[in-house]
Amino acid sequence: MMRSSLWFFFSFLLVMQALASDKGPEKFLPPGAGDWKPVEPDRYYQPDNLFDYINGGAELYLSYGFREVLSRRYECPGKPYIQVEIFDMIEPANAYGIYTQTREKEGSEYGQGSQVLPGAVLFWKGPYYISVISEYETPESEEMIRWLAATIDHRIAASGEMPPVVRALPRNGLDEGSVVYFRHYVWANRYYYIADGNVFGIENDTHCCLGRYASPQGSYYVLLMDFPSGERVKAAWLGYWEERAGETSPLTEQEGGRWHAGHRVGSMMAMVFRAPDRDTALKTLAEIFPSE
Amino acid sequence: MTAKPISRRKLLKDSAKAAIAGTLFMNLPATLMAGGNSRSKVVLIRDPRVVRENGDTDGDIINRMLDEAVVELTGRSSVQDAWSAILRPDDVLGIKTNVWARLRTPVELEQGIRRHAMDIGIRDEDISILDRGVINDPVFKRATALINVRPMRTHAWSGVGTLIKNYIMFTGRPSALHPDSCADLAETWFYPQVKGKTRLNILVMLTPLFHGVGPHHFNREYTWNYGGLLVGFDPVAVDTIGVRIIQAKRREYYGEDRPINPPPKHIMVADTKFGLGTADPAKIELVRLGHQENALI
Repeated sequence: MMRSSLWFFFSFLLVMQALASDKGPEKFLPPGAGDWKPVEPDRYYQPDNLFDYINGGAELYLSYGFREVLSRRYECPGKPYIQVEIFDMIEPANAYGIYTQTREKEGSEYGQGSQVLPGAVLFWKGPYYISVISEYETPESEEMIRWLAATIDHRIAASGEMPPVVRALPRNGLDEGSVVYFRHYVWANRYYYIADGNVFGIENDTHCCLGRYASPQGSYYVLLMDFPSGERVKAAWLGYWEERAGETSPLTEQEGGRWHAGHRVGSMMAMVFRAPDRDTALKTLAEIFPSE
Repeated sequence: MTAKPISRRKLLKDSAKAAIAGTLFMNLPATLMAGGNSRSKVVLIRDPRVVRENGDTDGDIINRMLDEAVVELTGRSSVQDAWSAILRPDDVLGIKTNVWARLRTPVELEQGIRRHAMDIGIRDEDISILDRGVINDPVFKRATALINVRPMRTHAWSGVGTLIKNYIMFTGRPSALHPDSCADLAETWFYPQVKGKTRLNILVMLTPLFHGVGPHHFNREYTWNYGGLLVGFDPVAVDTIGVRIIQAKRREYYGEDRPINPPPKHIMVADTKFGLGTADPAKIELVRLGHQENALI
């Protein structure tokens, strides 16, 4: 009787442990990384307390539809700690968007896109955005953060598609590492200052991307916005030209001989900023809207 | 017709000119107001040796830099006179610092300010150095004077972390100031615990952060040894100079204009809507001391 009760008790514990380890993103994390071990319980933050963790930086994650972050610190006496965060962004598009906010060169070493810096590996995969950083850099910690990133990448089975609006950007001349996907108006100014306010009426339901293009005369930029309705596109179109008080045409020459151009079809609106010449501006729009 | 770009400054100023007049120099000590100089003086002092090879701050050098800067700023003939023009022996002093782990206000600088305050007669128990928790701190609650000191860095939501932004801890709910990429941060400077009390603003530009990555918005790759301090009475003017240096560094690093994003509009709004100081470079007198190379401004 005693033996069967003990057997039942330990079986129950094993099942509960297995269920628990399958529950959240902690299942993607190894129990240790070389000499580095977790020394404190994992921490979790949700939208209502993310500010406690990353202060003002929380707004960025909330603007993309954030569900939860798991934070685990691996430590080893005498060596820099390694901090791992797995952000559950609900949808792959959100994870991709967060990733695009800071990466500057498109890398493919980890996940579905990654950025590797001294002391940091940042990547996205499926609905997750992952950050692995060390307190400071040593050859050993650099090796370990890469091993951790590879392990997490391997354990995340999910994958996801880039948002369709991103795929609509013309590829000719595009710096892939410059592409940013967003659904909040403040990011429209990333490469070229357009306006202070929300002139296009970009809301959380508006899928936007921005890309930088190379030309011998310098960079130019394309902003694509996919709105949920034709009325919103029309409002965005009118809002922009109202803001650009000096401009009367969707194709205008700017100071310095650069060109701005815009066009809208259906739910989509495209703007080209600082194109090196008139033809480039028009050709870029024609690539986005080939049937027009 | 060649179109002109929208002037953000013009738009904002047109809508809020009336706000500028009354409170422009609300933080300037009365003893220093007599000059009638309508330009805000900002002192930039640099010495690259202030950052040691291991990244530590040289306490002697940074405090010499601060001393030279306050002498220049006040126009007084000695360090003691300069600090006496800024603080009074009967003041209760809150030193609002910034302890963000990856780029904090150097402790050596905090302690240097404390020493100067005690040298002119402020009691040790009447001095507090704090970042979080200032609204409940007994010294800050009865403070008659504030010194605002923090490093400059890019910020994921406000564009840059500034002297203006450093007072966000005087609100119990910082997130309430986050809308519109923190445009109204200057509002905190008009809270009763703060208004009119700031005697000196010190923007630490030793190793500024000009671009942020990842959830903690930091990587050493995007810092550099600028070895500078920006010191002034007008926080908006000091921030304006600081952000121009950050922007210039981004231009140098990326090889093209790369606007700080989100745009740090709270600096301009602090001028045009709140009248806290000036963000107009034409109204700022920049005085350069020390190392001049690669000043980026």
